[in-house]
Amino acid sequence: MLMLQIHSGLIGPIVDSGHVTGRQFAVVASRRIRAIMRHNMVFSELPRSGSWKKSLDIGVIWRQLQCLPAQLFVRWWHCLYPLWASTMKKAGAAVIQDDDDDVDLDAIKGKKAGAASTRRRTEATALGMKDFSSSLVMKPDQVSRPVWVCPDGHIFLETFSPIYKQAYDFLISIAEPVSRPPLIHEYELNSESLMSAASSGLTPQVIVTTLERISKNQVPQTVKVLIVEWTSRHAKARLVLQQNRFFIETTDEDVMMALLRDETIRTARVHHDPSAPEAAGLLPVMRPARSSVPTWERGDAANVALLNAIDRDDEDDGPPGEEAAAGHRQSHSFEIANSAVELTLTSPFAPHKHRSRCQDLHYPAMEEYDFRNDPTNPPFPIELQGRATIRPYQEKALSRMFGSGSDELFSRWRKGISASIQASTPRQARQRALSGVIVLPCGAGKTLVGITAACTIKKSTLVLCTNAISVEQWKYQFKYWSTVTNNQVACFTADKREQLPTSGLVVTTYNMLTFGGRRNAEGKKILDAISQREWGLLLLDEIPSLALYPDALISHHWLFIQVPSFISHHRLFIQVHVVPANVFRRVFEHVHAHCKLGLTATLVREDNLIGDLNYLIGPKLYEANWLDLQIQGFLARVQCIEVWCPMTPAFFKEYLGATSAKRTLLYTMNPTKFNNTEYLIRFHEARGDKVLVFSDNLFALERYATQLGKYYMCGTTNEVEREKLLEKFKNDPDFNCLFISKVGDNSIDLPSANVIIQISSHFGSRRQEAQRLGRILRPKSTGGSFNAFFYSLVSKDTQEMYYATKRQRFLVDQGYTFKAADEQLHDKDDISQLAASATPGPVKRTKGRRQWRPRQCGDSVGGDMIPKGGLLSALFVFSQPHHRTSAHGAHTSYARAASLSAISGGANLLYREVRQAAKAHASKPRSALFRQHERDVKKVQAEFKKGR
Amino acid sequence: MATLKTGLLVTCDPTIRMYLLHLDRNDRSFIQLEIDDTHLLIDDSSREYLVHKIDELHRSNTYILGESQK
Repeated sequence: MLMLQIHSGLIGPIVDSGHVTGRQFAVVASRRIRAIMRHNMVFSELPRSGSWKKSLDIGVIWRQLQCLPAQLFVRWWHCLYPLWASTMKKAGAAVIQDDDDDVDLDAIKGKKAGAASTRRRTEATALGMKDFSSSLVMKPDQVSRPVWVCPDGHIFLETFSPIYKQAYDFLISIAEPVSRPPLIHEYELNSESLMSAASSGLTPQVIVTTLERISKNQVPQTVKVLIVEWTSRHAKARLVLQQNRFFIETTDEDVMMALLRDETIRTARVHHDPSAPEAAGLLPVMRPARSSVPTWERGDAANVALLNAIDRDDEDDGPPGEEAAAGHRQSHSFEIANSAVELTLTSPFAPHKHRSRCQDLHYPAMEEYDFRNDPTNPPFPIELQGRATIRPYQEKALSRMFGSGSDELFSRWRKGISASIQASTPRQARQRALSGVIVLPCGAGKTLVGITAACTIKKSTLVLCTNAISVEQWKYQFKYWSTVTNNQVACFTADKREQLPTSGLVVTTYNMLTFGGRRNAEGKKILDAISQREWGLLLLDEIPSLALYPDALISHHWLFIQVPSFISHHRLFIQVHVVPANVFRRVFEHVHAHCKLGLTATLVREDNLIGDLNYLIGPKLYEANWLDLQIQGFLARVQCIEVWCPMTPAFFKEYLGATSAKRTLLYTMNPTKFNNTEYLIRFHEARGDKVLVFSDNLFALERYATQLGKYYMCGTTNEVEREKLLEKFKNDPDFNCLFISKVGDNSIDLPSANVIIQISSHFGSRRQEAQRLGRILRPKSTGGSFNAFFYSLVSKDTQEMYYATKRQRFLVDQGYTFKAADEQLHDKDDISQLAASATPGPVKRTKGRRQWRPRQCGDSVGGDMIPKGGLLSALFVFSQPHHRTSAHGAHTSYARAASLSAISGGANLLYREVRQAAKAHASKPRSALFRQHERDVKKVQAEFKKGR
Repeated sequence: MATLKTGLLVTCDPTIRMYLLHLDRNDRSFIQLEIDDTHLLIDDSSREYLVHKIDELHRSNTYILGESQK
């Protein structure tokens, strides 16, 4: 049996859920178990399944969990979940994940979600857990190696291993991360990931060798075959643009022969006269022969020893031959007639006509753009400003794009050393720009990566964003980080049309380009100007999640999606990045760009169009690790909390009898949820945090905001007002809370927001959850372990729970844990203070001490709302944590967070100084002379009175 | 003359109580007496039925990774 290390402390979350009913525990437990599964995976000896089959009784499970020191067993899992499933009468059901995040499938009768993606978890067993214990052959020193390689292509990496960093760098370049929680990462080898590996120069032999070096078990034959097969297909052929000539380049003679044998390509080939001087062939780029294993950073003494040990053991393994080759490999190329490629400008999808031909021949060609040798494109001389500091992960991402796979080369180039390299080795060190997608978390500096890319290529750049606000933001960022001047930038949106510079930067939205309806003359002129020009770089911001409804009508400048009538009392004006697939293709019809860079934070694939995306833009060049960035301080440390609000009986009664659309409304307007929202807002405002409240549902947004007396922003807010609100939010210390609808999901840039409260969201959309979290991911300077909070308020016992879990998948995969808060956040005796406390029946009033009154602007929150126990206290470590007594139990101490005036009792008092100066002055004479005089005067007066 | 009836005392939170009332009205009646906000008296025989129904409610509201609902 295989035994991994035991990790303690993970039972904590289960125990901590406090006093919950059995059913609730089951739900919590299933979530916790899932979270634990993600965090840890242990294969171990177990009793046979028989004894576990009877233990569906919650009590028994509870006891078992308590006994076992935080271990989860594959076999147990095997029994428990199928059992669970069978009690739900779904035994043997096909597990097709309907990953449709944008639509409530249950509501749409019979209409299956378009291309329901059968994503990675389509294995027959629940959670994709498989038992490989019999088929894996372990190596004798497996304890010191970090990686498991499973026969189905999944790779697991232990992050607590000493050579974690190197192994991670390698794995991230060959495999796609499925889940990256703190302790054990899961990766999957698939076609796209191996394509990006191939694009960075790794050959199949190298991949297999390295994998063999770091894995605990012998790499299974199936995996080897998989790697070799998939890698050898990719990056065999490249379509290179150099000096306005197109070349197809390959390093493999067979591929070249195969390509040349093809009709279309052969006719398009341009033959060179060997004597003509300018008919020089393609200048090859120096590709570091990745025939050697990526150099491990041998900094650590322990690492060195370990790596030596590993290398010693592996001396006999690994194929020779490839290792011996040094320098760059022989590359063959032939030119393709430019005229054949010229069709690009007019015919649809023809930019990649020959690329598509190559793909048909099963040699998908990647595009490279040799931007230094492109004299036809007018240069656009921008540089990065001095204050732009590129962080290490941004550097890595860019090196994947520019460095032809060599990080070292790129970083040397960036530091300005490359000039000398170029001088000395003219045939080498050519920089080519790859097209592809870079995935970085929100707030980690995607804009800067795009800007640096533009500053590297130094050709005309076109930036496509999702909406007008982000257009402004990109323009501002460009002006801030680079030396671009105002007359070199043009924005093109529905409201603003500027003249395009001859060679410069144009920022516009997807909608402007792909609008299929009528336009006015000016817009049309600009669109034609964009279409006819050759762009050096095309920056695609927030690569669209391809929507489920392919037949979107685009009217005016709003993306107006037809929805079935029963949902349509909320017409969805989606001006955000839900762009359908065919719309996306139209972008490429209009724009002829040599290098395309897609920037996104979430690359969840809703349907199989991700393959198209790979083809249209390019492979995924780099994906950052959220958790690592958090640890290194580039992202804020966020505490994610899911607050469970029980439905009030009246609301629940309505909910049970209502239709799906109405149910949404009911569970959003749940009064308990309202109370909790109010409580959380007050609590955080008292702490001085900036709070954003997100609500998808417009009705709820308005009601909540007006009831609580806060401002709100939604789609119908005009630009001026939006800017004012955002301005106020950023700068005004009294304006701490803002309610936002869907418009705020992606582009609003609020670096100072600390807290997000989510009261209503769009079904199961993982992207939305991740984007909203991105609003607070910018690193905060406030101390403490957690300085940002993400609350998701969910109504218990309703469909909202289902969607909430669904949404959190992406974030859980990145390493975030959602804590579930089931206790009521406010004390029973504070209930009269909260606005929505109109419960039918008697309401407890606490001795008339606190009367409910309409809120006024100048109210100080004081220290009233700090919980005397409960979850928030545990979070904030104010009072003693784990205060498990209920709200009406006795409590000894509590803390207050309030202004000094509130604590000292002067909250409602005003200190006013009345001038006493005159009187004080008059009572005391100034000098002896006058004192004498005073005395005399008094004597006289006294006598006068006596005389009377 | 007093008649003696046996029943099951159900203690629950107000939300689930609402659900039980809903079942009682629409599906099959099993409630003998509504005591107050958190207590109900129901028929002896409907215990499994209730457990099953509440299971179903929770099941429909829980998303389990790797399984498709419905």
